[in-house]
Amino acid sequence: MEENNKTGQGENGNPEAGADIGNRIPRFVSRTDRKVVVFPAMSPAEISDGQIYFLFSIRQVEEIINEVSVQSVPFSPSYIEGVTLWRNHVVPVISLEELLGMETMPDKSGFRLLSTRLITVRILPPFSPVENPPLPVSAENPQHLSYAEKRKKEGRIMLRVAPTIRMVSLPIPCTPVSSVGWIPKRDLVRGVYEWEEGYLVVVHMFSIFS
Amino acid sequence: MANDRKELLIFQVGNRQLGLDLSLVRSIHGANALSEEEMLFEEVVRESHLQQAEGKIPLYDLSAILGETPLSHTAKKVMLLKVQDHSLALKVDHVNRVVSAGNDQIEPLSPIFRERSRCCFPHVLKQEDHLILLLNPEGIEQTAFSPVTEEEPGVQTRAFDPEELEDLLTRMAQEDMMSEMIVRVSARVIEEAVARKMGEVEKIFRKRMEEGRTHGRKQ
Repeated sequence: MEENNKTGQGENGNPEAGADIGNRIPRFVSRTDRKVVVFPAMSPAEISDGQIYFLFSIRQVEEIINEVSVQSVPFSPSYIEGVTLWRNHVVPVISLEELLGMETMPDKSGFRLLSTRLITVRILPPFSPVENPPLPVSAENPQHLSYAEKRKKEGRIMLRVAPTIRMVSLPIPCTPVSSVGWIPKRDLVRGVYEWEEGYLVVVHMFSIFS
Repeated sequence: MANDRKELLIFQVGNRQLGLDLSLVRSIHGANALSEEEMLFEEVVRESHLQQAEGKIPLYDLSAILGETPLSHTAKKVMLLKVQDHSLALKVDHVNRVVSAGNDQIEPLSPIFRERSRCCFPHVLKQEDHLILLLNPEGIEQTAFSPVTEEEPGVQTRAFDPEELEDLLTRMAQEDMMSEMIVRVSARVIEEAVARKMGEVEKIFRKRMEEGRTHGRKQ
C-alpha cells in the first residue's frame, strides 16, 4: 500500500487502508484500476456541512438487492433491523448511520420515502489473503491460518442504504479529516475524507462484526 | 458424515413464529383448561420476581417478555419444559407443528447481536424462504429477571455532558419525541421559572400602581 492517503480500504479492513490517515499530507490515492462503491448516508447534509458518503471496496460488496424479508430479533439494538435469508446464509441487516450514532433522516422526509436498497458486504478477518498472499506455514509462522480456515471465519452483513449507489474509480482526490463530531462512534470508522462531493467515510467492518 | 437431524417444535407468540428443541418439551396444555389449583405457578413477567415455593413451576408469558401483542383469536397454550435440573412453563399463543431439521438448516445467530439476544435465540432455523428464531428457555429465564442494562436499546445510563444533552433534547423536541417523563421532570423547573417571572411582573405592576397613586395625590 502506498504512503499516500487512501480512500479504498482493503476488502476486509486492511489496516494500511485507513490507519493514521489523519497525519498524512499527500492528496491522492495512488492505486490505479481499482474501483470502490459509494453511496450517500441517509443523514441530513446539515449535520456535516456536506453530504456524507460511505465507501466500500468493490470486492467487499457481494450483491445489491432491492428488498428482502427481514425477521426482527428481540432485545437487539436499534441499529439492527433483524436477520434475513440470503443465498442460504443468515445475514444481519443493519443501519450504518444508526450504528455510528449519526443523525438520521426523519421518517417523514422525502428522502426516507424513496425506496432503499440493500448491500451485502463480505467481512473477512484482517489480513485477507486476497490483499496479502498467505505466507507459507513454517517454524517462523506456525499459527498462520490457511486461506480455507480464514474463509470459515468470514461473515456477512447487509446494509440498508440509499438507492443512489455508484461505482467510482480510484484514485479519488480527497483530504483526510481528523475531527468529525457528527460521527459519535468514531472508533468504528477507519477514516473520513473530504472530497468534491462532501465526505467519504470508511467504516471498520470487522470491528462491527466482531 | 451423518447429517444429524433435530426435532423442533414450532409455535406462535403474537405474529412471531419461534422454534424450540422438542426434546425439552414435557407436555402441552391448553391455558384455559388449567384450573386455578392446577396453575401451580406464579405468572411471571419481565419485571417481577419469581415466588419460589415447593411444587411451583415458573410460568413465563412470552408475549410479555418479547414485547409481542398476543393474538386475540387463539386459545393460549402452556408448554411445560424440562431444562437442565428444573422445569419451567411458557405461555404462547399457538403451537403450530413439529419439523425435522438437519444441521445444515440451523445457523448460530450472528455475533453482531448482543448477549441478551444470543442468549435467548442462539440459533436460527432456515426454512425455505424464511427464518425462525430458535428459543433457549434458560435464556428467557435469565432475561425475565435480569435488570435492564445500558445495552438495552433506548436506555442510556451514562452521564451526558451538557452540550450533548442539549443536542439530544433539541433533536427530540424537533422530532416531536418529547416524552411525558421529560415533561414531568422539567415541569417543576418550568413552574419555578414561571413563578419567578410572574413575581417580577407583579413587582412591576405594583410599582406602576404605586407610581399611579403618587401621581394622583400630587394632582
